[in-house]
Amino acid sequence: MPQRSTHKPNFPQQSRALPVVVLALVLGACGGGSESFSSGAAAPEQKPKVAVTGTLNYEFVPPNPVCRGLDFASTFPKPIRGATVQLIDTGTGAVLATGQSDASGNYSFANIDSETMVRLRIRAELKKTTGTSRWDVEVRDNYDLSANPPALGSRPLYVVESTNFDTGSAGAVQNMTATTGWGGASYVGDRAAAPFAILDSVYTAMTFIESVDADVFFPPLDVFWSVNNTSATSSITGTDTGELGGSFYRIGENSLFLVGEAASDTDEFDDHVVVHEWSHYFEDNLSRTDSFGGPHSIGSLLDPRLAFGEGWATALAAIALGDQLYCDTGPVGSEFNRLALGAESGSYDGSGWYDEVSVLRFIYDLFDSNDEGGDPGSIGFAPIYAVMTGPQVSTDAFTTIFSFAAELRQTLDPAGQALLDAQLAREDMTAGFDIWGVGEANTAGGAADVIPIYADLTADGSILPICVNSQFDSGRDGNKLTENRFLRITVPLTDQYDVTMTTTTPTPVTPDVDDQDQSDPDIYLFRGPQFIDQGTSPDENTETFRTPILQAGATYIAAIEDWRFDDELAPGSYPERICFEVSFASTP
Amino acid sequence: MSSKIVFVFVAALLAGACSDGVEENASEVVAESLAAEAPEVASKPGLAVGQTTKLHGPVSISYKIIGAPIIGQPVAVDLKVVSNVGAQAITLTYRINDTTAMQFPEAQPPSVSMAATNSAEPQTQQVRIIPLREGRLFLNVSASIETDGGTISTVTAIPIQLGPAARQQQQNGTVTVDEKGEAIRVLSGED
Repeated sequence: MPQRSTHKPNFPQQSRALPVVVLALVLGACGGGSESFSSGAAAPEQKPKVAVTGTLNYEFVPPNPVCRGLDFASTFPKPIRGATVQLIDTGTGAVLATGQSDASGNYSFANIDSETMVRLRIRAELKKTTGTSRWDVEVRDNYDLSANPPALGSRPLYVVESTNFDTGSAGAVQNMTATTGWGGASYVGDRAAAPFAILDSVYTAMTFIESVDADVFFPPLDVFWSVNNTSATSSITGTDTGELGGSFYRIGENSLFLVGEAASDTDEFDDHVVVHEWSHYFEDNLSRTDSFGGPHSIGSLLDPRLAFGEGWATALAAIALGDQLYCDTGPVGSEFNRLALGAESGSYDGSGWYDEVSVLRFIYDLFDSNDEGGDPGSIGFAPIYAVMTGPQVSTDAFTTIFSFAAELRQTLDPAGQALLDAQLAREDMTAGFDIWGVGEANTAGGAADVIPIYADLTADGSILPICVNSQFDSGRDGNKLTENRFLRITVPLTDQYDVTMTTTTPTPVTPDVDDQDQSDPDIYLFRGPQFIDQGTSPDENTETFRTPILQAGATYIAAIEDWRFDDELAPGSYPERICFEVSFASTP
Repeated sequence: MSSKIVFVFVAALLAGACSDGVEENASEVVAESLAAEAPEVASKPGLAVGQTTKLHGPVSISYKIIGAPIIGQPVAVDLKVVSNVGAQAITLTYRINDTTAMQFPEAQPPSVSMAATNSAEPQTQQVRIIPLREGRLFLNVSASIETDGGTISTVTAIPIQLGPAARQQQQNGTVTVDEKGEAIRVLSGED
């Protein structure tokens, strides 16, 4: 059964226990200084104690102008912030001390045996286990071609290590940089900077959220990256083989996958891509997403749940990074970009509530104080965050721009409301709509089956005729506008209900026996954020199921679709428009 | 339960390596759909296994490698190009990053412009390359369009498989275990 995210869940103690860090933090109190940690190991011999300090950096590679590849000539160091730092005894392999780098990349270990050979190990992880805000992020290598690969969460964690050094008689200063491995024309060494660049983008995003919510609690997140993760999928697809097809976040699993194959596409230095995908994790955990993902391109007219989720993610990346240009560079060494998308510039067809770029610009223009013409003023991020973690979670409707903007508008003063209304108008939306989209006048140019956004159905056995339409889907994506239609269901009696969904559009039988040429109606039923039930059988041209008890007076919502719009085995001649009759009948 | 088999992609590269040159055996891949095809999802996914993907550019490119690529011999790649932002002129630019892997025939122009068309049908182009070695080689195709906000482009890296050799595994550091027995991949830092 699908699991729906809920707002601010009462997370149990984090599943990844962190005894070393906890111990270090406790011991750190004895060492003095918030970032200074002392050894807890009993010294085998009474050597004088010294301090080991230093600064940790990683090399960051910025994009060329307009994101046309990475500009290795402009590589510069950035601090490794918040990462776990360990001091390893090279003789025994024991961890002598553990701490975290500070916001400048500095670390400090006190009370370390003098004249001892050690090395530094920097773990690609962010662990915040004390204080009012918490997080737990790890960057791991998913690529594993062994016969029985371990669970993804047990794949190797990236670490970077220094050379061995002596703590000396008076202490040591040991700096370290995780380098790119770039040799001038190709990668020739360890790509050590990559996992720390990813980690730092996540750190930026989390500390940005923390700046508006000091009590934010991020559940554990695994980020998977590999030099073998490719966007160019071939004969095998999967996370073990690195054949990802592109970077993505897996909804409900708190797992983020990023490509790193130099020949096809790398994302470790594309901080907007990293934070965009992280923003899906945010929405999945701290807010609510009803999006089911899938392919989406500039210009696509999308299911409004998907449009909101994607626009939100790109907007939050721009806001958190303080940079309005979404930058996705292409293959390493090329002068091409995969995409350069400004939140403040450009114009594309298809503006509206089904357009992720419209959602992006709407949110970004509410936030930013730059008036590029038409967006004077700013509401800041706090009200946006409050709605995303509040009403957007519990809304009776699906999570779309309608629920978000309608709820946000209620929290704003008149000036803020005027700004919001103006931004909606700029994106071809109709100010004043409610969470159901009632009042929205944009019908995608009068296309069929766009309006109403929610069709009302009373659960009294009456039949609702309604159609789905793949008119905006050039493939079999199943996630474009009108491929799913929404129902708002009124329940007159507390009872179980028999749901019937019957295809009324003739679907001709094709000669190819492998064709899936008959309709496959599906329906998903919710009460706000709560998933109730689904009818997703493979039965042709009909779907029936009995619901659990539905409460009289409660508002239920449903999404209906024809699975053939997702089905690669549907013939090319399959009808673009499929109509159904839907009913909810009280059980005897 | 309905099956959503992603055999198109499986067939694509295999066919490219095994066909005898006739078009029926050519490989075809919808590049812009690659990221969207949910790996490891082979049946109706419901709502629990949704997967977000990166935003793609305004032009979708699908490709078909004609015949089995052979080292030293030109091979044609058919491209189907669709604008997602309405009728727009599209410029395609071809690049090979690794010149030890492939090269263009002398007659191959480095870029081509296609006029805007109102047809819903994809526009087609053909590009030729000469493979120079075995392995998985990449042809980069960038598609650019002009919008009110300026030029916007997107690149697609087209993999071309030469011979049976599997994709070459890249190395990055070494795997060992830490003091708790947890697997770690150790990368070298610079002091």
